[in-house]
Amino acid sequence: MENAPQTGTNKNLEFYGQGFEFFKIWIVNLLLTLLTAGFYSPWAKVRTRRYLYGNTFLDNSAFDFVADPVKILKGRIIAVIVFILFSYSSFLPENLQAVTALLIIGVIPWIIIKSLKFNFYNTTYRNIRFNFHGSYFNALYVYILLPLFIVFTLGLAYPYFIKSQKQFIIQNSRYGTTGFLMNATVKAFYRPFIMPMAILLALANLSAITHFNAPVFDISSLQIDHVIKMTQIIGFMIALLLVYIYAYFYTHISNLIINHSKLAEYQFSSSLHTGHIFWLFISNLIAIIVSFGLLIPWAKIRFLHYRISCVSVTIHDDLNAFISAENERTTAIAEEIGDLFDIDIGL
Amino acid sequence: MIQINGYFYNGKHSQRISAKVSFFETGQVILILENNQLQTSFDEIRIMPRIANTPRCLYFPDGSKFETHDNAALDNVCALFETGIWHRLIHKIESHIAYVLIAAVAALFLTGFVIEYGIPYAAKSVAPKIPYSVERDAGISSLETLDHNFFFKSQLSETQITRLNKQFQSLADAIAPNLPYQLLFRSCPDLGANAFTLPGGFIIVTDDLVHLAENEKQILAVMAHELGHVYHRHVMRSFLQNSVTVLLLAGLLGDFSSISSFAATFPVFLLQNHYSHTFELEADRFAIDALQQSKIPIKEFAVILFLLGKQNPSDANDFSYLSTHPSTRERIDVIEKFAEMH
Repeated sequence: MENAPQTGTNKNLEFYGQGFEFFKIWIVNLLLTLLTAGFYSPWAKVRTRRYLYGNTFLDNSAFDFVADPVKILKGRIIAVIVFILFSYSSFLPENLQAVTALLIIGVIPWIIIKSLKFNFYNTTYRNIRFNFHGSYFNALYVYILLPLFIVFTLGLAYPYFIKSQKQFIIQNSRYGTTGFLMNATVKAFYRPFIMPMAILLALANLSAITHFNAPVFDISSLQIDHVIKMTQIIGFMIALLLVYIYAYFYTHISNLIINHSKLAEYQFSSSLHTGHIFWLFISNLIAIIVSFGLLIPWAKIRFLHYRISCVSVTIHDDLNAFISAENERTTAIAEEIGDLFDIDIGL
Repeated sequence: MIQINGYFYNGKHSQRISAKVSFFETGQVILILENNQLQTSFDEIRIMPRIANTPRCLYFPDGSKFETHDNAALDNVCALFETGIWHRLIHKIESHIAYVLIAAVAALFLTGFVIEYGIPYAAKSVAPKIPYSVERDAGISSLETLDHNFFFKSQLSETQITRLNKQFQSLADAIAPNLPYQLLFRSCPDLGANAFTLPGGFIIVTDDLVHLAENEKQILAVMAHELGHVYHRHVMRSFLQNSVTVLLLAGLLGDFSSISSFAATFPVFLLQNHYSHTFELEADRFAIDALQQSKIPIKEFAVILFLLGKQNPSDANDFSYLSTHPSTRERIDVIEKFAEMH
């Protein structure tokens, strides 16, 4: 059989989840989790993931999530204990607090690695597992050292941090024996920040000016009421603007990352639009608040539907050539500990 | 015999192969591929629970997987062999709207109950078991930070401070003897007239409050309110309640990312305010009792609250759910009603 020419077919990811269908699963999850004081939550998580992954299709095959809920339960119990210890560390004497803080900082990269590994390993497509191979020191650099560096550079290093973080996750991921690649440049990550930064700087200058005028107002209650209402309106508009800026980031960064990601010779692409993302954010937020949270599953499905359907893969022949990394299973002990913290560190 | 169509994935490579699986009453299971057949028994395969209408799969002992859209057929197989009862029950609840509505209402009630009564009750029971020394250390370090960055030494006269201390001491002894506390005065123009409690029983009163009050009875009333916070271990209970609420909501809703989780933190913010309203009213109640014990007219408490309310006009009538205190109006009403009855 001849090899197909370089131009392949563009296949979109498809998402068939439905708001109401998912609501039913979600509400039963909620109820059972409450009734069992949280012990049902690993099963709830697996059911949710299986529903979402199972409704995500590429080339007519769905994804799957195969984690064992019992392992997640063990991990969660330990996570709760650690959380409690961490919360009450503020009541410890000063020197112990420092030690605890250092311990926690040292453990965080390990937790991140193990949880990424757990989540990737238990995700399958056509019965071949994904996997994650990041090293502890790499994680230490990306998640602890870089954030500190951001502080030193007064935030200027933030785009570099984002790039390093995403690249760390993607370049250490595999589908079977095949690794993913992400080759967006640092410069490309800085570009989406220019416009928003300019706007934010302008805003900051504006507020500095109005702040200086404030003490001139008379301290009678009528004036103060008026000032408060004005502040609230301005505050609301600024909040909207901030959400728009966040939507802008989200769109451009997501598109940037996905458009520069590859699996072997399969190229990914993403076509999100800022306006649509902004609309989704605002309408979902309103719906959730107005419905006291009952519309959360609907909002999630709606968002995922748009996000997923904008992603496509260029396939040259078919997706049959990937091989399982059979000997990649970690040892029994490592897996037990490794399954501990299933924190969601999404893309 | 039930036969189901679907796809086979052998788990070694990503190829998709058309396949059929036949289930016999004897327990025999045969997988039919294009030019191959595999035989096994029902005990050896693992059928995954049904999730709505997502593709359903079963795994063979060697890790290979058969996937089908025919959920109904696999349900029949499970019924036939009487397996997966719990999973079928859960799926049944999830698919019938009536059960779902019942579940939704039940979940809402349960959550409301836990948040309104469960968590506060648990916090109330646990707080007394935590020794004062634990709180005190936190309070001492908080005070040091505040003194270093925020507070100035009080400008009140020594005689006035001593007098207020003595009067407060007798009030405290009458209502709650042996309750560890420490009364401190500070000057803090930014805060205006105010008083608050730090963990470990530290009660701080600002100079401006002393100046705002018309007489010393009113200052005592405010101090009695703060003592109420100390007596009821509000600081500790508040801390416990807030961290559990975070855990609860994180556990229930935390699997969702970005916007949903932001929306999930919003109710925690409301809840924290709601909880602190309860604490404030409880402290008011304690103050009323303390004033009664020491034969100080309750009216003085209402007056000082009114004066404080005038100082912060937005506080007075604000939509109280969004603020940490119940509205001043509400508190004064409670106090005046009580004063009328006694």
